[in-house]
Amino acid sequence: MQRNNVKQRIIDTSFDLFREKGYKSVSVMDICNACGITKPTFYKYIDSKDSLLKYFSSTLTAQIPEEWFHIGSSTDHLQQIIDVFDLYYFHTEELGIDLYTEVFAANLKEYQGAFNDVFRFNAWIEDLIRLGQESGQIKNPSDPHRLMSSLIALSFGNGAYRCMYADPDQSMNNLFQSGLKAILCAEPEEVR
Amino acid sequence: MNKQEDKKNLIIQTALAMFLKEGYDRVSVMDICKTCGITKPTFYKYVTSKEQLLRYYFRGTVEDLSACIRAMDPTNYWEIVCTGLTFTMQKSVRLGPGLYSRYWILNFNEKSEAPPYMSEARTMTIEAIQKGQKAGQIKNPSDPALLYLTCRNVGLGYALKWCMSNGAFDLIDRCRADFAAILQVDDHQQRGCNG
Repeated sequence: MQRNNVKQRIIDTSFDLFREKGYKSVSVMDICNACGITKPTFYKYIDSKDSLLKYFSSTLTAQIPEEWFHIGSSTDHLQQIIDVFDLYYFHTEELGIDLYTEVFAANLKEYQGAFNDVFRFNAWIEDLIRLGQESGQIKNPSDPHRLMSSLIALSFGNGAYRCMYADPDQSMNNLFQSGLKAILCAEPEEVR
Repeated sequence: MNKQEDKKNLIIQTALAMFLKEGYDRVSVMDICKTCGITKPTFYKYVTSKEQLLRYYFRGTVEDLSACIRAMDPTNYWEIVCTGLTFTMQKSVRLGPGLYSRYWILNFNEKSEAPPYMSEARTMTIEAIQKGQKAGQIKNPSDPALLYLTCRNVGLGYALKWCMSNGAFDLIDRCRADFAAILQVDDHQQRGCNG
């Protein structure tokens, strides 16, 4: 428990510092100072500064509230899908494009698991697509598993596109949402 | 072909062959110079950096794609769309995941001013989506330009996953199957596709 606390504190503090000062200008020493620990302590828990980036996605998935995984009484399944990805993009925009770019670059150099599939998340998206197809809201009748896989790929690809080309006119989330609606051939209920 | 061009091509071809064989990181500019029998100053007279050598690999791809589409059956819209969306990817796969990753890192580090995917081939592919919709081959009625960008970004997502997983799946097959599901193309339209 104690171990986990120190590790989690290092991760949280470093992401705060990255967001504040930019990934490149934060040194391991800065992180140590902010945590009140020594370098050897840092390296006891974390392999390298780059390896901190693998927690980019897990800090996010840990934030998904439990109740999100319940369909509840809502019939607007498209909106539910949009909401989940909203959370992903909110988190990403908050941490900044520069840091997101570093996550891609670090994971391409040596894969650290930042983009691992979260099976529960994927299964849930798939369920929502199936329900949306059954109710007629989602008009693309293709295999829900494949459509889910396309949406997950789109969320990475779209993020990468924004890292390589910063279009000031469109937020990452707007770009993703228009793609999502085009794939599923669906509109949220309020628009219909 | 003049002498200058010859030398530049020799450097590019030699370097790419060495990268493929030994891995990008293990090949230094000095190694390339030795193999070509030139000095470092000569190398830098023709090539700005080691990274730029990867860019040369993709030289002419867009033009090749336009030519390829022009040579295809103009009424098989699905095949044109698939080619338009996966042509560059097919060339990239031949680099292998290691070198392809390097190419992405290069792109991530050099933020582009202009949006990617702008080319004559893009226009031709979007036109094919539109015609495919009218002909009933493509049943997804969404805006063709948006469908193009969306499929490109789905492909980009898979390409990155392919690199990160060290080539753990067939990238082209996966993309074709997903594009068919997205665009709603019937099985009988997908000739040669694993659907």
